Order: sequence, then structure tokens, then C-alpha cells
Amino acid sequence: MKNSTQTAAKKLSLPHSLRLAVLATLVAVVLGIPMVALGTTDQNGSLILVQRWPWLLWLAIVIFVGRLFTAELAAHGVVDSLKTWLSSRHPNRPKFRDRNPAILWLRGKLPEPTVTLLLLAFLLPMMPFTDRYSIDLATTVLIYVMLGWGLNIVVGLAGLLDLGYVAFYAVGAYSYAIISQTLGLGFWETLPIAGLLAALFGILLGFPVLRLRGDYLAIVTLGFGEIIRIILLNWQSLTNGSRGIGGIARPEFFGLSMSQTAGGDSSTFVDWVNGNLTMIGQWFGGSEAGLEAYRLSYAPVHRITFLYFVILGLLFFTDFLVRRLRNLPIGRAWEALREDEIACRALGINPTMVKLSAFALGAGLGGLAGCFFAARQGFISPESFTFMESATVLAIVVLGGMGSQIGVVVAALFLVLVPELGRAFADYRMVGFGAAMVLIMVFRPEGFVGERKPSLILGLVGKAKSKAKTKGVQ
Amino acid sequence: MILSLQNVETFYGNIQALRGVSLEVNAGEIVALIGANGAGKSTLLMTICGHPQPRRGSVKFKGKELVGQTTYQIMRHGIAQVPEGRRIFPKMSVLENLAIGATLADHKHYAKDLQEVFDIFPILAKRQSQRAGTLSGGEQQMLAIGRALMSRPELLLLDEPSLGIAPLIIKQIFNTIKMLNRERGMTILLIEQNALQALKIAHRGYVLQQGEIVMTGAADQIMSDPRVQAAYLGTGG
Ligand SMILES: Nc1ncnc2c1ncn2[C@@H]1O[C@H](COP(=O)(O)OP(=O)(O)O)[C@@H](O)[C@H]1O
Ligand SMILES: [Mg+2]
Repeated sequence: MKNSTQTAAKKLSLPHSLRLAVLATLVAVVLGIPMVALGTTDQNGSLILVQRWPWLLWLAIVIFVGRLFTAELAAHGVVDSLKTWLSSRHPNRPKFRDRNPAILWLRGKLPEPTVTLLLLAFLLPMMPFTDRYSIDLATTVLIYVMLGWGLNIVVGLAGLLDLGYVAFYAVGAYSYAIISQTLGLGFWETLPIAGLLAALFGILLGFPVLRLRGDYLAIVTLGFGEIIRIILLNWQSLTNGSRGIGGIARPEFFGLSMSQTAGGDSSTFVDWVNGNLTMIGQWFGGSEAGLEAYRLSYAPVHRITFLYFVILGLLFFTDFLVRRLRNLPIGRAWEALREDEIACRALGINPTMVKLSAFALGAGLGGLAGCFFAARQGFISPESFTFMESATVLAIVVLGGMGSQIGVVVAALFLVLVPELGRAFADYRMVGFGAAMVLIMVFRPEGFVGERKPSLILGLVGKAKSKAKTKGVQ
Repeated sequence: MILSLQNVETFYGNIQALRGVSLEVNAGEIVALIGANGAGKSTLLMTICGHPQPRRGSVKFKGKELVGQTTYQIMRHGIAQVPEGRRIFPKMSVLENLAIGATLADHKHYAKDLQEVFDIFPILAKRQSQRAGTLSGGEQQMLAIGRALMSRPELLLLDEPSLGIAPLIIKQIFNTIKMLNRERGMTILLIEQNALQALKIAHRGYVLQQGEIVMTGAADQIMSDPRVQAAYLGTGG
């Protein structure tokens, strides 16, 4: 039944979609004539009619193509398959009160360990012992947590060994650098674009390696990482080669610059705060001179703290996204694929779709991290995106315990902080670091957090028992 | 007739594993396919599922040709498989295994279907948060069957469900298979080396030998055939 309707849909979809698209375009044109093509402006006090027929043409084209595209997507089951894979109408999902961190906390329960840690991390810049250096270091740790969580989807959950993850980090970073400098877009507008571009590269890599497993997959992804780096080195006109791209714009805070001086017509964060402070102070009868003591003066640590909060915000988003996806059919399919691909096929799961989605999502998160990295450094060059980075992120995932969210945090702390603390030992620090890694793998071969938490929680146990009793044996 | 194979020939490289196999399953039947180790039973089941693809012949499910479709497409027509060796997802919990089985079914039915699987195999309800890999062999087999049922199949393919399982549990599993058929009207193709048990609950049977169907008929007819008795049931019967 299902099949016949599906194939019928495929055969007939194009004329049908075309009809839908023409219909939508007609409606758009009819509405567009008074609303877009004809307009009025005020000229010397009298209203005159202006005609904007090219606008109407563009509108018609956009509507036609857009509607055709969405109709085709629907006809080919893409919409249905999204519904299947992202459906959260799962009776076993924990209730809102059991997953909202604030409500959990009010009820005296700790939320997810990752959420707890992120909330604690939020307090770091306010601690008395925190200085510029420690916030900067913490930001580095958080970037690696972000990368670790991204790669964790590919390696930890879907079980696809990817040694070229740095490629997506690079794509994200260069996307921001190039887009902000050529199109003049800001950090927040570019962030989703960088993520999408990286995800696209993830799919590009995904297609050729779909059939590969294990060692072969590792080798090809390793090559992919190198290819991207070499392209960055050699595409001089776009990437400026080995000299890199400098002067990358910093993120703004709702349009306020976090630097000492603001460019263009925007103002700086400090000026804005002081302006409001003065205004509010004067409402309460304070004098200009008295308020002077409360005025904020610019300090570089503001910008560093702000960057820290930005990456922390990205991590809240990522953590939520990944944990949510893990609870959806798509997340379970990733893990099932890691366990047994043949069994997955036998259950009607399309491994291509599952693998590509893992690649795309992991890559997209890497792209977001890259975009942030570029904005934070202000300067990027291919040197930042060597195999060493891929290896570090992979080590974080493996050390943390494949698939574990909190494990990635622990491992990122370890992998960034230990070499940093070991700086005093100069040349010996990498030796000590290597020894530490070996010891961990000997004593904790499953990683720091080897225990896997099921994505579905009990809930039907009680029900199952009582129902079985009342129903009796059927 | 819900499933029909006609002159199916399947090869592994140059080695022919199925030689002109024709087989039919009617709605509401249990059909037993028996044969010795290496006869090609699993190959037959996997050929229905499109992996490997047959070189010649046709496989029709409810009148539609399955040859040429990929495994995941075939399984979406309402066929579910309990593979040889169970192939549960060992690191995932029992509940997750069942949920994955339900991925393609309508989510509306999830709670009800889960409840039904738990009614059939109460032990799974008790073990639902346990890692599937830590279950006993018999429990894993029950999980594999439960997982297949979660997709609401019209046809259930079982590959040697008695393999490596204690005799007492085998009996329980065969009783369940019989119950699924008699009470819920499930159509089942049961592949077994354990010929006696399989034929006891089946309506009809086929005997596969070196990739060829050598005998077919009503289950009790096959059971009483002297050649089958000698080869698969021990001389005494
Ligand atoms: N993947 C494979 N590659 C090559 N030969 C295979 C493969 N799988 C099975 N065979 C061969 O096909 C024949 C039938 O195997 P199989 O279908 O597994 O038998 P059964 O399930 O009845 O024990 C055997 O001779 C076996 O060696
Ligand atoms: Mg077999």
C-alpha cells in the first residue's frame, strides 16, 4: 500500500509540484500588484504612485522556485522522513518538570551533569581569584568542549571514525573571516551561515565515505582534513594563503561594540552602560559628579569575559541540542548504527540518511566552533587547522568515554589544562602528558565516563506490571 | 498469498547458494523452512530482504516485486526480520532496542505496542533499563522478536530462533510464535534446523537441501515422511 502510493507520488510529483508552484505564483502576483508593484511615496507634499515591476518579477520567481522546491521535498517523502526521525511525540520522554534545569533545581534535584557544570562555569568570571589569563584559558577549554561534542556525534554516537574533523572547524573559521570582510556581515548573522556551510562540507565528505568503515574511513577522513588545509594554503585570492586573514571583526553585544572604540555609527558597550547609569542615577536624584564613581571604564577583560559568555551560550545550545537529539529516533538510530549496521537495515533504517545526518550535524557544530574561534582570535591561518587539532579533539572524545557528553567536558579540561600547567617543565611536559594519556587508557579503557546512560528512561515499568496483572494472560 | 518466491537463484560470487527456489506463504500461515546447516536457509531469508539480491527469479510481497529494492525499503512494506544470531544492540537498553524497532511505525501506537510486547514477554518489562548485551540468550531472542513486532509487521521472518538456547526456553519461544499466529493472526516464515519443533507449530513446510527445495507439503505430512524422519528428526521420529 505504502509503496504504491510512494512510487505513484514519485512518478507524478513533478507535474503536481509545478501546478502547486504556478498556483502559489499566481496568488503572489495578484496580491503583489497592489502591495509590491505599486506603491506611493510622498513628493513635495503630494502622494505620487511609483511602479516597481522588477520587484514583482523577483517576487514571482522566488515564490515559484521556493514552492516547487518545498512541494518536491514533500513529494519525495523528505517531510515525512523528517517527521519520522525528529518526532518527539514519544510517550517515554521525561515530563517538562523532570527535564527543566530550573525546576529541577527548585525541587532540590541536580539537573543533567553537563547543565550543572555549565551553570557553574557561568560563575567563573565573577570569582575573586579569576583573572584575564584564567578566563582566556577557560575559553580555550570551552572551544574544545564544543568541538568534542560535535565530534562525539560522529565518532561516539554514530561510530564513524573521523580523523579530519578539523576541516569543519576550518570551514567555520574561514567562513566567518571571509564573509565578514567581503559582505560586511557581523558575527551573529554569520554564525548560522558558518554552521550551515560546515554542515554542507560534512555531507560532501559523507557521500564518498558512506560505504567505508573503520580503518578505511579513518584514512579518507584524514585525507579530507589535509585537502581542506592545503586548499586554504593555496587558494591565495580567497584565503590569503599561509599569511592568513587578520583584522577579523569581533562579536558585538546586541549591536554594541565590546572594544575600546566603536566603528561606524555604533557605540561601545561601556558608553552605553555609562549613559544608562547616568540617566537612571539622575532619575533618582544623583548628581553627575556623585555618579562618576560608578562609571565603568573600558578594560580589555570586558571583551574577554564577553567572549567567554558567548562560547558558554553556544555550549548551552549545543548541549541542549545533542541531548535532545539523542532522545529522538534519529539519535537512537546513530547509536544503533554504531552497534550493528546490518540489524539497522533489517529494521528498515536507511543507513545513508543516518550517517549523513551524523556527519552534517557534527560538522555543523565544528563550524560554529570555528566561527567563534575566528572571532575570538581576530586572525586565522591554515596553521591553526593541522592534523594535531583533529587528534586532540578525537583524544577528548575517546578519553572522555565515547558518546558521553560529560566525559567530553572532563577530558577537555584535562587535555587543555594539563599541558598548560606543565609549562613549568618546558620540554618534558609533552612526555608527561603522553604518559598520563597511556595511564588513563590502561586504568580506564572505557574513558573517564565509560558508563552509557540510556536515552529512554523507565516509566512504563509500573504500568506494565499493573496492566499485565489486570489484563491477565491473553 | 502474501509472499511468493519464484525460481530464485542467489549467488555468492560464483558459488550458487539458491537454485531455483519457489516458495509461497499465505496470509495467516506459519510456514516452516527446514534444512541442514549450510543448506541456504539464511540466504533465502536474506534474499527476501534484498541482501544479497537474487541473480534470477522474483520475490513478491503482496503482489509487489521486491527484487531491486534495498533492504531498508523492503522492510518498510510491512516485513520484519528476526535475524540469525539475534543481532540486538548490545550496549543499548532493552527499552531502546524496542524503540528502535518502532522507528518506522506510527508513533501513535508506540505505547500500546510496547505494552503488548511486555505482555508477551513480561521478562523484558522487568529488564527494560538493562543493557541488552547482558541478557541471557533466551531473553535476547525474546528481545529480537519483540523488536521486530514493534514495527507492526504483516509478515514476520524468523531465522533459527532456537539457536543456542536452553530447551525449556525454546519451548516457550515456540509457544509464543504459535500464539502470535493463532491469536493475533501474524503470518510467519519460520526457518529452523530444529525441524520437529518447527513443524509441530507450522501449517506447511518446505525442506531445503543444498540450495534446492526438495520437498513441500502440509507440516504433518512432512513430519511423517520417512526421508525427513531419517535426515532431520532422527530415525525413530
Ligand atoms: N557471505 C557469504 N559469502 C559466501 N558464501 C556464503 C556467505 N553466506 C553463506 N555462504 C554460503 O552459502 C551457503 C548457504 O549458507 P546459509 O544460507 O548461511 O545456510 P544455512 O542458514 O542454511 O545454514 C553455505 O555454503 C555458505 O557457506
Ligand atoms: Mg543460517
